This record gives sequence, structure tokens and C-alpha cells, in this order.
Amino acid sequence: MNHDPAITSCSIDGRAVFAAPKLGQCLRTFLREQGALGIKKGCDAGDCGACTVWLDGEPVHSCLVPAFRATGGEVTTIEGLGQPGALHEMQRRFLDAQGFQCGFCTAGMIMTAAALDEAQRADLPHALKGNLCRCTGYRAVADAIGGSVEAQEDVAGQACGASLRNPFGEAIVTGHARYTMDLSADEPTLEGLLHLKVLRAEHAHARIARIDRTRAEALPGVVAIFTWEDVPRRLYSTATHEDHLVDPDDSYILDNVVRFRGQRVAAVVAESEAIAEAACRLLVVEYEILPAVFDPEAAMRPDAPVLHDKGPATLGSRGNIYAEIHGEVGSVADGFAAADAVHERTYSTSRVQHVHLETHGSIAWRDEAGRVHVRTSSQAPFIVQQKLCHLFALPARAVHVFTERVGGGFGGKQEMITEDLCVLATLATGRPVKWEYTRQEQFTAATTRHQMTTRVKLGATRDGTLTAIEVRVVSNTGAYGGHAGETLAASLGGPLTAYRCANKKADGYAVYTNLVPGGGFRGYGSSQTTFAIECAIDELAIKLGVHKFTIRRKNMIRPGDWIESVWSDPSDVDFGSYGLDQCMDNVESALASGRGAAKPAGEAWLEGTGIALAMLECGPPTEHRSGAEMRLVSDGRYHLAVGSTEMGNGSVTSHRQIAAELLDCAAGQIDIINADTDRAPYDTGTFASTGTVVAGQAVALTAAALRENLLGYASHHTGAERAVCRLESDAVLCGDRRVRLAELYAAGSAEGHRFEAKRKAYLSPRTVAFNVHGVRLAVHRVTAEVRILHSVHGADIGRLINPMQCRGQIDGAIGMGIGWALTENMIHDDGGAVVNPSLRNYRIPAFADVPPSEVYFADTHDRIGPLGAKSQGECAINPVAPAIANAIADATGVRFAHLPLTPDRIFADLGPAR
Amino acid sequence: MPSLNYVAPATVQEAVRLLAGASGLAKVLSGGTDLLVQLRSGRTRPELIVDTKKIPGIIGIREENGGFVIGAATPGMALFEHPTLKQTWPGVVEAANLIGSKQVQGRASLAGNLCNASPAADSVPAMIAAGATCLIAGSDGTRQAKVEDIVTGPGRTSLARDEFIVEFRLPKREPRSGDAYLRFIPRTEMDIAVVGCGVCVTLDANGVCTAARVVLGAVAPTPVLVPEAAAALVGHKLDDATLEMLDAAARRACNPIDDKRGTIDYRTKVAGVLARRTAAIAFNRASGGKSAGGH
Repeated sequence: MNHDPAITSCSIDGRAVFAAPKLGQCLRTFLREQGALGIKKGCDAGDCGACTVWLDGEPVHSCLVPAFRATGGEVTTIEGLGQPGALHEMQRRFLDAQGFQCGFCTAGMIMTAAALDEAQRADLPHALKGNLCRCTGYRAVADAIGGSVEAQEDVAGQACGASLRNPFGEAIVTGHARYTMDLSADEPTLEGLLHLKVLRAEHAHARIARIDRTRAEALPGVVAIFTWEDVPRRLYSTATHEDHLVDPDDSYILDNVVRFRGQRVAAVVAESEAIAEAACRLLVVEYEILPAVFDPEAAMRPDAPVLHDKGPATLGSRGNIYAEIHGEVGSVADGFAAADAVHERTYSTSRVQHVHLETHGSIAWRDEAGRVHVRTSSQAPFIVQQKLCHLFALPARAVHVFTERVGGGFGGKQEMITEDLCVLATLATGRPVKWEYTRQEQFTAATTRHQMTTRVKLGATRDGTLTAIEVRVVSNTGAYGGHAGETLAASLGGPLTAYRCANKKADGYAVYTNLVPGGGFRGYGSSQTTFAIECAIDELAIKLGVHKFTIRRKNMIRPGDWIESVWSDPSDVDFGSYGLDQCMDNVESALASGRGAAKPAGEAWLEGTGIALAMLECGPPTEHRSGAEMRLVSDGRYHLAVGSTEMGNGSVTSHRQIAAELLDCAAGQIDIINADTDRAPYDTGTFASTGTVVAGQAVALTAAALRENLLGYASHHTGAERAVCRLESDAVLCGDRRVRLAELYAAGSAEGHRFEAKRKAYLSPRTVAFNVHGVRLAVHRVTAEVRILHSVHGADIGRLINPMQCRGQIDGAIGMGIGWALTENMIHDDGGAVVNPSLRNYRIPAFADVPPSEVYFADTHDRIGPLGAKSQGECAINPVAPAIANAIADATGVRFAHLPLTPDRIFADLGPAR
Repeated sequence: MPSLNYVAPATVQEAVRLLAGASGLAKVLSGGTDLLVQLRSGRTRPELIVDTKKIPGIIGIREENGGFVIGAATPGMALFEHPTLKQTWPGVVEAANLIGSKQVQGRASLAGNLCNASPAADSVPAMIAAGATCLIAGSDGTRQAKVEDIVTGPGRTSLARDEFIVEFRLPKREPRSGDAYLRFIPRTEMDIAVVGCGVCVTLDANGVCTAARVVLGAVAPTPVLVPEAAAALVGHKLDDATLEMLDAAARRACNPIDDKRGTIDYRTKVAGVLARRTAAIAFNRASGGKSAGGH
């Protein structure tokens, strides 16, 4: 008999390891315990591939391999494949084509790609089916595997506008980049690390009568248990806005009322994750079940159960309506009276999850001086710091919040999801505490895009001129109202502003229901209304017999128009540039080119074309500011600190390029740190496209100020006129004299001069960006399969700071848009439980689902955004789903008004065409 | 902490003895690609895990009497790489290769796919269509069973608690026969079947079907062998009328659920379409055609 092999001996990247895996332990956690931190957890279910390693030369999902199966075997991880300076060919390729954005999936992606033979490389849709990427839309991955070199050389004075590599690219492709959870076990700060797990509500709406913790407390290894009775009774919102008035303070760290299936009920900290989980199972909770409501229309009725009754804290709210917004310019009654045709229909969008490959998580500890440090995966660490100070009554100096590399955000990390409980536990126990979300928790206990149902009514004259636009939006914010008001406002903003029309009216309601809360998500409310309006515009055009391009060109906003939605009060939005006309032209000619795939053979396949446009106000209407500081250091290099978070959006690359342009140096001369409340200046958070337009502006202002500092001192130092002094790479030219920066630094510091600058950028005015998407596709009239044959995109994002990155952001947004349109949907059962909380059943696009897109950039240079640039990554998702819906309608003659457009749903409505 | 024992016996008899002796839930581990996920999610909490991979012969493929004997823990990739299996039973091999990604195909086994007892398991309809049997070991020795008799409901099998599958047997393929498997999934790759269909047909020299087996997956609590659908084919060439009868018979056999992957109406309709597509490939193969299928 061969009982449990207590000791597993295997080799990890050539290093012999002898250790005892725990029973049931998988290879992924075993390897990470042995210090192989290049391996990532994305799902722990064999769906995403982020944990791929080679076992005896064959790629495997290490999360699915029992650890003991590696006994006697050779494990190769990303760190063993190649090292910085000695890259494996595939690592080199991912670097040269920047086949990543956040980089969290990259180690696994490379391990799979490096094991493919020629035939498999020729069929990547099949060969890469076990590796998911949420950032890139896979085009950059295909480029990388195909050996395409997209990155350009970093030349002093030409940094801005070049496709420069990510400064951490080599670390990412070798698995050396450290993400939130990548702390080795022997890290001194982690001595005595405790693991936190949470018991989650089994009911959609209930009051907790009693929690019996006796058995859980008795479990060896349990250190502390927290319930609602153990936490500061302070209301707050998990949404991270600096202005706390824009979100309702409707949450407690732990509450005695649960309002959705999956809400936190109790937290356990223990010596291991397994013990914490076991203790959660031993907690006995007695609930008083309360009536629940899931449909926002039902929740608005007077007899509906009310979710939040907290008196003054939610003053102004009416029942379950957290926010309502109304507005009208002109008179839609007059507009409809003047119309020759009126179209009216209700459209709806689905609840979808961000699915950043790195799940939520944080680690908190106290240092000897008693300061609390929080290492977290956040888009807004400074706001997290503020919220923690509020909750625990701590002074700002007592709390330090920072990020390492963040594995994707998409709005999901504009939320304080884990930090509060980690800090609570570390304050109570004095020990470091770590909490990492599972993939399932991402679906059942994080946030989602707000599901919105939108009634659209459009009126137009015979020639297609709009006479009235009226919308009614009902947003389902779920159990808590973070981002509900702001997304509702955004849903009534850009999508209505995009069309010039004298008469516009909107009514919006954000409503509490007993579902997983809504939150910020790329597109932030405007995506949902763009879907509705762009579908409606097509339907109106068909009614009038006007071409889909014609009706849009006739009515779309153009310079000289008021930039207004349904409110006539003054706005700080302005045309810093305008390229919507170019986007329309580019998409039209690309679709007319006949490129792309041919329709599949057979009369069962129907073909159609669709387009949609979208407009984005670059940056949030709420107060927003970013800081940067920069200094020259003794070796003549620069050091740049930016408060903004990098989560795959590429800001560490583009911020260096912006600074390099102003300092006439190579980007490589600048070292950068970011998103750290101790080491970088304040930033209100990286969301709403602020990474470029606000943080980038702060970098530009700072670099310009440092340049003046340097040139002023150089003039003083050399005696040359200031006017003849200029920077050139690593030196200052002062007339005929060339002074190296290191030399200048030495001279300056000897006389007490400091080569440093700090600036803040405040977001106002805001400029506008545009995106147009076009698609030709085929629909099978029996099975309702949809195949995208040609995908084209026009983007007006101003000057391209880094064309490779800009392209990547657009590709990624299109991929995410395709998922939203065709496959993604959080499904709830009658009791409000998410029934598909895994990547196997919640389907984000895989490689095979995302066709390559042609992307065309409008030739614009913005006069408001930094160095001519404006928002890049956000708005591109907005026109994708409506373009696909319009193409399906064009193909089948049937309008599908509700996302997602899955085959069974198309099938159900396809009747006549079938 | 709940206790969990792991044992890796070296013989079939020892494995059977361990399974028979377990007081609580015992699970057989082969590839582990399903079991590890179930353990982690708490969906299963066994007291004993019996790892079969150390048993000689449990992995491997051998030809015997013109047919094939496939060890229960043999992964899909081994089927794909076998020099003659793919030519003989292409539908079975294609179905097995739909299970999971490249990172999983080296380990996920036929026995695991069957005994996990998902109605949507890809390899099962293909195995049933091919007429595969399995050799089951238990306390009373071994017994043969048809693959279609193993799954009794979602997550349930007809195996006794002391039994496990040792090997599968694919019969000698009749002359002028061909098999095929297709599935329909919402995503392009890497998904769970909304409908799966396995078909195996034998033709006479004139292309008239003399024997057929049609199996549907994911449209009922278990994979279903549909004799009415086979009857629609037998005695006919593959013409429009035959396909129509097949389509109708396949739809009648459906008893699916409305769930997150598809509605009842949709699954039923697609089952008919998929039966047509699969039969076309099987007929083509039986008549010596080179069509590799796909959809």
C-alpha cells in the first residue's frame, strides 16, 4: 500500500524541493508556497489558464493538478522559462508585441504559447482555448505569438508618440512582476500572517437574529471571529469617490441585515485559509427572513419591501429609489408633434462582471510604530485611505495604502471591497492579515455593471432630422447604491448629448433591489443608454427609409453645437478637438471595402451590417485632481511619482513618455512609482478615463516645471542666457557648452539647489472623445449562431501618446463589448442567487470569440488634454454591443432589444425569419 | 478539520477493497480535473480519495480482436495521438478532444468524463454511439457493462460504492461504418455543450443505412440513446426526407431543462439540427469520404 506521500520531492525551475503538500492541495498553491510567485490564480477551476506551468514539459493548469502528482517530476514555471536578460523566445515575443496589458494572465499565456508546435500556432483559437485574457482582446497576443515586433526604440526627444515598451515589461514576461498577493512567505512584514475568510448570506433579505460562534471558535487555529456586533457602527459607501456625498452611506463593515445573497455575515481570521473556511462553515446563523424584491419596477411600488431604512442617512430617498434624475430642454411634446415618424421601444442591458483576472484582495499589517499598511488591488488607494481613516477613526498619517502591480480593474476596483476587514482584523489581532477573493466571490460578492432598462422614444421629420428624444432609464443598483447616482447621471449624459436636437427629455431612477450591488464599470452608465439609443436610431432610420450613416451624420453633434444633454445649465465640457466625422468616414469606407471573412456558405446563414456611435465626456463631472512630483537624481536620471494607479491601462508607460517629451529625454531615463499614499502625491483615483487626461496633465505640468528649474539653474551655473539653454537627453546645452545632468546635479546640490517639482492637475474643462463601431456578421437562421465577419472601429482619442498601447486599449474594449453583447450575463435564480458564478458558466470571450478588428484613429490633437491626448480606453466599449445588435437586426429583420444576444434568445424571437 | 484520506493502490483488487471498506464517501481519482474543483468548492466532501493512476494498465490503449481497449484513466490527448484509433473511431477521438483545453487534455480521462455523470459530457454520446462497453471491477470480481447503462442521472451512476471502471472497449468497426460527434456551444471554444450528438452508421454497398446508433447529450438527465432516431436512418440513404425524419425523432427524444445555457425550445430545435449535421458526417465517413466534420 502506498499511503499519503508525506513528502513531495520535485524540481521547480531546476531547484530541488522537498515539502509536504496538504491533503487535497493543488499544485498551484503548493508551488506558490515554495516561492514560485510567477504563477497566478485567476479562477482555481481550470478555466482561465493564469496558473499554467509545465509538468515534465507539458503545459497543465496547476490549479487542477493534485500537488502530489508532481512527485518526482520537473515543474517549469514562467521564471524557469527565461530570466530578465536571458529571455525565452516566447517571452521576447510577448515583450516585442506587448502581448499584455495588466500582465496577470501573461505568465500562463506564455507557458501555453511556448509549448505549441507549428500546427497548433496556426490554429490559435483552438490552441489557446485554455487561456483567458480580459485586457487585450487577444490581438496583441496573436501578434506576439506570430512574432510581430510592434515596440519601437526609445529615442531621446522622440518618446511621445512612439510605441515604447512598458517599463515593467521584462518583469511581466518573466513572472518577476509582483502583484498584490505575490509576497513570499518569508517576507518579514508577514511574520504571523493570518488568513481571512467570510461567511456569506444565504438569503437575499434577512435580519440576523443570532450568530452562534461556539463551534467555530473552538476550532484549533481560529484566532478571531467578527460579526456585526464587533465592528464600528459607522455608515459608509464602498464606492471610492473623494466626494462622499455622491454615493449613499448605506453600508456597515458588517451589518445585522443582509440585503443580497452573498453579503458578508461574519469574518474569520485563522492560521490558514482552510481553517478559516472550515470555521465559517461552523458558524450557525439564525435569520429572520424578510421579503425580497429583485425587479426594480416592483421595488418602486409602494408595497415593496424597503431595503434601506436608516433615517437621516438616506434622507431624500424615496422607498427603494435611491436616486432620481429628471431633465428637459426644449419641449419633447412639441418635438413629437412636429415629427413625421416616431419610434418607441424598451431596451435592456444585462448585469455583467468586470472579470479582472486578478481578484480583489488585500494584505494589512501594523509596523512597530503602530502605523497600518495596506497592500491592495485598488484604482483609488488615496480614497481607500480616507475611508479606512473614517471607519476606524484613525488619523491619515496612521494609514498607508499602496498598490503593487494591479491585475486589471475596469472600474471594479473603484470600490473598497476587502481592505476594511483586513484592517479591522489586523487592528484587533496585531498580526498581518490577508484576504484574497475567490473567483466565485467576484460574482456573488463584488459589484456588477448596473442593469438598466431604457425606454426610448424618438421623433424625426421625413428627411431624418430628429425633433425629439425622450428616454426613461431604470437602473437596478442592487442592494447598495455605490456609483448608482453617478452612473445614472452618466446614462443620461453623453448618449443624449451625442445628438443635436432641440427637444430632449430624460427621467432616470436608480433603484435598490436584493441583488449583488452595482458598481463602476468601463463606460459607467453611458454604455447602457448608448445601447438603447443607437438601436433606436437604427429602427427610426428604417422606419423613415434613411440610411444608417445618413441619419447619424445629419443629427450627430458637431463643433459649434451646445454640448448639452437634458440640462441647460452651464457645463465645463468643451470641444478640445473633434473627430467624430472622421470616425464615421473611416468606419463607412472600411465596411464598404469588402474585407473580412466571407459569409458561411448556405442559405441558412443571413448576413447583416450594423454601426453605432458613442460620445464620452473625458473625465468625471465630480471633483477630480491628480498630483505628480519629479526630481533629478544624482546619476542624472529622473524620478517620477504619480498618485494614479496602473492596472493595465498603460499609464506608467504613457506618463514617462509625457515627461520625456517635456524634458527632451528618452523615457528610459525616468524611473516611476505610482499609487502609494506614502510615496506619491494625492490622486482622487484612476477611473473615468482620468489616467491620461488628469494624471497625465499633472505629469506634464510637473515635467514642465522641472524643466524650468533645470534650465534656470543651468543658466545660472554656466552664465549662459536662459534663452540659449535647452535640455538634450542626459545633458543641458547652454549655448556651446554641454553640461551633463549628473554634473549639473552635483553643482546644484553643492549650493543647496533642489532639482524637483510638484504639480497638481484639476480636471476642468473637460474635452470630448468619440468612438464608432461597425460590424458585418452572419446569423444562422435556425440555430441562431452569430459569426462576426468584419469588425471595424473608429476612435477619436486625440494625439496617440503610445500608438501600440492605444490600439491595445481599443482592441480590449471591443473584446469586452463583444462579450457583453453576445455571451456574458449574470443569471439569478428566484431567490436572488447567482447561478453562474464561475468562468465556465459566465462566459467572457476566449481567443476564438474575438475576431481581429480594424482600428482607425482620427487625426486630432486636443487643445485641452495633455500634449493633445484625450481619453483612450473607456468609451470604445460603448458602440460595440449596439453595432452588433443592429447588424443582427439587419440580417434577420428582427429586433433583439435585450442583452445578451445569446443564440437561445435570438432563436426564441426569430420566428418569422426562421 | 474534516479528515480526508488519500490512497494510491497499486492493484485493482486493493482499490476495490479500499472502496468497499470506506465508511464515508469515497471518490475515485483519475485525471482529477473535476474532482479538485469539486473539493475546493465544497460540492463534495469525501473521506477517502482512491487514486487509480498507479494501477498498471489504467492508462494506455491496445488493439484487441480488431477493437480497442482503453485504460480508464487514459487522457484525451493519448487517444488523439494514437496511430490508428483516430482513423477507426474518429467521432470518439474528436469528442474526447473537446474536453477541456490543451492544459487539461493531457490528464482528463474518459472514465472521469463518464463517472462525473454530467448530462453534457462530450465523450459519452460518442462512446455510446460507437457501442463502447466498460469493464467494471468490484468486490465480486469484474463485470462488463454498456456505457449507456452507467449514467443514471446528473451526478449519479449505476456503479456500486465498491466499483470503479478499469477499462473501456471499443468494438471492431464494421465495414462501411463511420462515427461522428458534434456539439453546440454558445462560445466558440471551451464551453459546456448545449446539445451534443453522437452518430454511428453502417451502410450497404449502395449507401443505404443498415444499422445506426444515435445518441443525444445535454437534452435529458442522462445522455440518451435514441432508437427512433436510428430507425429513421435504417433502410434509407441520406436524403432530405431521411434527415427530416431524423430531425423529428431527435427532437421528440429531448427532455431538456431550461437553464443558463439554453431554453427547452432552443435545445430541442438544435438537437434536430445537430443530429442532421452529425449524421451527414457519419454517412460520409461510412462511405469512405474524407470529411473531417466540424461545424
